[in-house]
Amino acid sequence: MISLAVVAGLLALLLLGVPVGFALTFTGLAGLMAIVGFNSALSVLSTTPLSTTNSYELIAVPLFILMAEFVIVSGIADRMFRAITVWVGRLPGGLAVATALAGAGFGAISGSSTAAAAALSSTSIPAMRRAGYEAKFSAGVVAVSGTLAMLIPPSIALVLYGIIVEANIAHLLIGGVIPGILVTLAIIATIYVLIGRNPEIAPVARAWPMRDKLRALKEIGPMLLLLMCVTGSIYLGIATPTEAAGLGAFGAFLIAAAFRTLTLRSLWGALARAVRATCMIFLIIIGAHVFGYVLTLGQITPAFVGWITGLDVSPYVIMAGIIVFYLLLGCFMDQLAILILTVPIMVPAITGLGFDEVWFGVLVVVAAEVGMITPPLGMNIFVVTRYAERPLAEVFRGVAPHVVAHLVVLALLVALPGLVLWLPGTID
Amino acid sequence: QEVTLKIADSLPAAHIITRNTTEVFMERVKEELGDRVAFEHYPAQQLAKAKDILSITQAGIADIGYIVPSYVSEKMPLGGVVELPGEIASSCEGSLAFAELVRPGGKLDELEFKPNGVRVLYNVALSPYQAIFSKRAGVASLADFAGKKMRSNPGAMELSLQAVGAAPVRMTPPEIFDAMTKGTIDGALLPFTSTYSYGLDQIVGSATSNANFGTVGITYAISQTKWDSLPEDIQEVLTRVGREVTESACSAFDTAEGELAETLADGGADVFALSEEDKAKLDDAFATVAKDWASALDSRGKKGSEILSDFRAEVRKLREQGI
Amino acid sequence: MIARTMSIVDGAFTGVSVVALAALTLLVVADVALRYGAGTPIFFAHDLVVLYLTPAVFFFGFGPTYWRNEHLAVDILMVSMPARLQSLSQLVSALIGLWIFGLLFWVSWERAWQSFANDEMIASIIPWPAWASYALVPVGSVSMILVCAARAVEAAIAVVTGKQPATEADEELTV
Ligand code: NA
Ligand code: NA
Repeated sequence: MISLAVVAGLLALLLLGVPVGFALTFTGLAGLMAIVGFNSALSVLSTTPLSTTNSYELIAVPLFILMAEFVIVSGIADRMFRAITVWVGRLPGGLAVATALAGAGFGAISGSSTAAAAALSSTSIPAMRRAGYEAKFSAGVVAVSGTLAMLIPPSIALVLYGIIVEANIAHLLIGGVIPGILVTLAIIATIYVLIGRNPEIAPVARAWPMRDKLRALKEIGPMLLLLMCVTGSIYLGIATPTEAAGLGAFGAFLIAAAFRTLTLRSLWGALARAVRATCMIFLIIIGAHVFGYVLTLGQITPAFVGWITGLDVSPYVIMAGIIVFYLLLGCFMDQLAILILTVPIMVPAITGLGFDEVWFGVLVVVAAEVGMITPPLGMNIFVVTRYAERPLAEVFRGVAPHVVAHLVVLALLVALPGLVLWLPGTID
Repeated sequence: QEVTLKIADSLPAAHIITRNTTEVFMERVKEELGDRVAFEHYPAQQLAKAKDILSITQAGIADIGYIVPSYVSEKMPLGGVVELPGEIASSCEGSLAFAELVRPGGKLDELEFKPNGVRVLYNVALSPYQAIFSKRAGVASLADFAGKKMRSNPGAMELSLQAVGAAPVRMTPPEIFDAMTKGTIDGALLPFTSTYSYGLDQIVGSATSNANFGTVGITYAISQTKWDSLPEDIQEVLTRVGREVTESACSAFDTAEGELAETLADGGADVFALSEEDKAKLDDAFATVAKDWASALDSRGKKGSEILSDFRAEVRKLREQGI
Repeated sequence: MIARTMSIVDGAFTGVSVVALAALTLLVVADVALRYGAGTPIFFAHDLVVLYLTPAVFFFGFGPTYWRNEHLAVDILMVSMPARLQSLSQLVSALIGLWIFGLLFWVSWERAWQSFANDEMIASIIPWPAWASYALVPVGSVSMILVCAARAVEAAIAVVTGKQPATEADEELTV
C-alpha cells in the first residue's frame, strides 16, 4: 500500500517537472520513513549516496563522457564526414550514406547519442543542404545516424546497464558491435528505398579523383586509433572497460591537442561539461537506489517477477510485450532515466524467463535508440531541428521510415539472439 | 507468527557460503520453531552493498546482516585478525577460533560488535587462500612468485603478496577469469571453492596446496535492538542453531576444499605443495605481516597485539583438542 | 546579486570536480601504462579513486549541475503551462532539493565527524583516513544547498511577480 502511494507520488512529481533525481530520492525517503521510521530512513541517506559513487567500474561513465567531449573539441567528426564523402559522395544519395557511415564511425569513438547527433548535424546538414537534398530526408538521416553512438561501443547506456544489473560490461559493449552494424545497414537500406521511390530527394553529387580519396584516408586515422584504444583493447583483453574508457578519454585529449583545437578554455569546458553530464546521471542513480529500498522492502520487485514469470503465455510473447512497453516509454521519457528506473525490476523477470541479460541489455538499448527519434520527446530530433532550422513535425516525418527499419532490426535481434551473443562469446 | 527476521547479504542467491550457512540456519530454526518465526532473505545486495550492511542492520532495515569486519575495517579493525596470513590451517580453525572472540561476551564482541549494536549469531572463515596461477605464468615454486601480478582482497592479503615479491592488483571477482586468460594478471589468491565458483578451474595452470595467504572472516549478526525484542526461548534457539551452523559450515568448507584440490589436480593443473624451506620463508614473511598489523593498531590505541595473541591462543587450543 | 554570488559558487565547486576528474583520468591511464610498461600497477590508484576522487567529482558537481539546469527533468507537461505555474513547479523542485540535501548534509556530516573522532582508518596497504572520504559528501553538498536556496528565492519571486525566472547557460545544452 505504501509502495503504491510512493510510486504514484513519484509519477506526480515527475509530471510536475521536478528533476528525476530529486523526485526519486524524495519519494523514496518519504516511503522509507513510512515503512521503517525516520531514523532508519536517514541511515539509508547517510550511506547510499556515497556508496553509490564509490565503485571502480562506474568511473567508465565519466570517462566515456569525457572522451566524447574531447572528440567534439578535436573536430574529428567533421574531418571524418568529409573524408567519407570523398569516397561515397558520387553514389546516389552519397551524402546521406556518408552521414550514416560517419554516424557509425562517430559511434565507435563516442558513447553519447545526443552528442553524436549534434556533431553530425553541424557538418552533414549544411553539406546536404548545399547539394540540394530534401530537408526532411536529410534531417531524418542525421537524427537516426546519431542514435548509433549508444549502441556501437563505447556506450554509456550499456555501461550503466552493466553496472545496474552487475552483468559483464565487456560482453555488453562487444555485444553492441554486430547490432550496430545491422542498424547502420538498415539506415543505408532505408535511404535507398526512399531514393528509389523519389530520386529527386537526393541529387547525384560530383566524383573525387583517386588522389583525394587516398589523402582522405588519413583523416580516418585518429578515429581508428581511438577505436583501437576502446573497443580494440576491450575485445583483445588488454584493458577492462574502465581502463579502456580512461585510455579513450586520454587518447581523444591527445588527438585534440595534436589538431591544435585544445585551449585551456576548451579543456576546462570539456571537463566541466563531462562533470555535469555525469552528475546528472548519478543523481538519478542515487535516487533510484534510495527508491529501490521501497520497492524491495515493499516486495514489489519479487511480486512483479512472480507475476511476469507466472503468466501462462510463451516467453516470446512476454518479451514482445516488454519491448512494446519500452518503445512506448521511449516516446515520453529520457532514455537514461528509463534505463535506470526499469532495469532493476525488469532484468530479474527476464532472467527468470530464461533469457540472457547481455542480450536483453542490447535489446533495451536498440529500443532506446528508437526512443531518441520518436515523438513527442525525441532528444535527437530536438538537436537536429535546431541545426536544420526546420519545423519539428517535418523532422519527425523525415525520420519515420527509419523508425520502421529500426523495428525490423529489433525483431531480427529478438528472433536471432546469436546476432548479439556470438561476438562476445569469442572474446576469450 | 510472532517474529519476522530479515536477513541481508551481498552474496548471489545460491552462493556456496549461503548454502552452508544462512540456508541451513533458516531451515534449522524453522524446524525448531515452526511458524513462530518467518524469514525474509534479501541476497545479492538487494538491501545494501557489502560495506553498508552493518549500517542498515544497525538502523533496523535488516535484522540479521552479513557483516565482514574487513569490509568495514574502519569500524572493526581488530576483526581483521582472522584474515591474517599464516595463522590458520583450515576453515574450522579460523571459524571456531574467531567464534570464541566474537561470541557475546568474547573480547572482540566487547570491543567491536557490541559497541556497533550487533550480536554475532554464526560466523565462518573460508579455507586458507591458496595462490592460483594461469598456465602461461608457469609458477612452480615460491621463487617464481616474484614480479607476478595477482588479484587479492584488499588489506592484509595485499601485504602478504608484497611480502613474497608479487604485485597485488584490485578487481572484482567476476573480472578475474577474463583478466587471467588474457594475462592482465598472472594469478589470484582464492580458496579452491571460490576458484570453482568463478569457473577458474578451467584456466588454472598451477596452484599451491599448503600455503595460507589469509582468509575472509564472515559473521552474521543480529541487531541488539531486534535481539532484545525476542522472547527468551527464541533467543536460545537462535544462539544454539547459530553455533551448530558455524561448526557444520566450516567442516563443509574443509571437506569441499580437500576434494576440489584433488579434482583440480586430476584436471591437469599442477597443484604443488611448497617445500619445507619455502614454507618456512613464507611463515617468516607472514609473521612480519601479522606483527606489523598488530603494532599499527597498537599505535592507534587499539588492542592489536592483545587480540592477535588471544586469537593465536584459541587456535592453539583447537589444535590441542585435535580439531 | 544572487546570480553573481552563485557564479562564484559554481566556479569554485566545478573547479574541485574538474580537477578530480582530470586526476582520475590520469591515474587510470598511468595505472594501465605502468602495469604493461613496468609490470607494476600503482597499488594505491584504486583506493585513491574510489575513496576520494569519485566522491569529489560527484558531490561537488551536483550543485553546479543544478545551477545550470542540467539535472534531467521530464518537463514535457510543464512547458505548455502558464509562467506562474512553471515558477511554482521550480519552487517545489528547489524546496525538495533543499530538504534532501539539507538532510544529507546533516547525516553525512555526523558520519564524517564520528569517523574523525574515532580515528577510523581503512585497512589497506596505505591506511587511508575514512573520515576524509566521508567528509567530501557534506562539504560538496554545500554547493547544492546554496543552489537550491538561490533557485527557491528566484522561483518565489517569479511566482509573486508572475515573470519567467531567468535560467542560466542553456547555450551548452546540446553537448
Ligand atoms: Na558508441
Ligand atoms: Na521518444
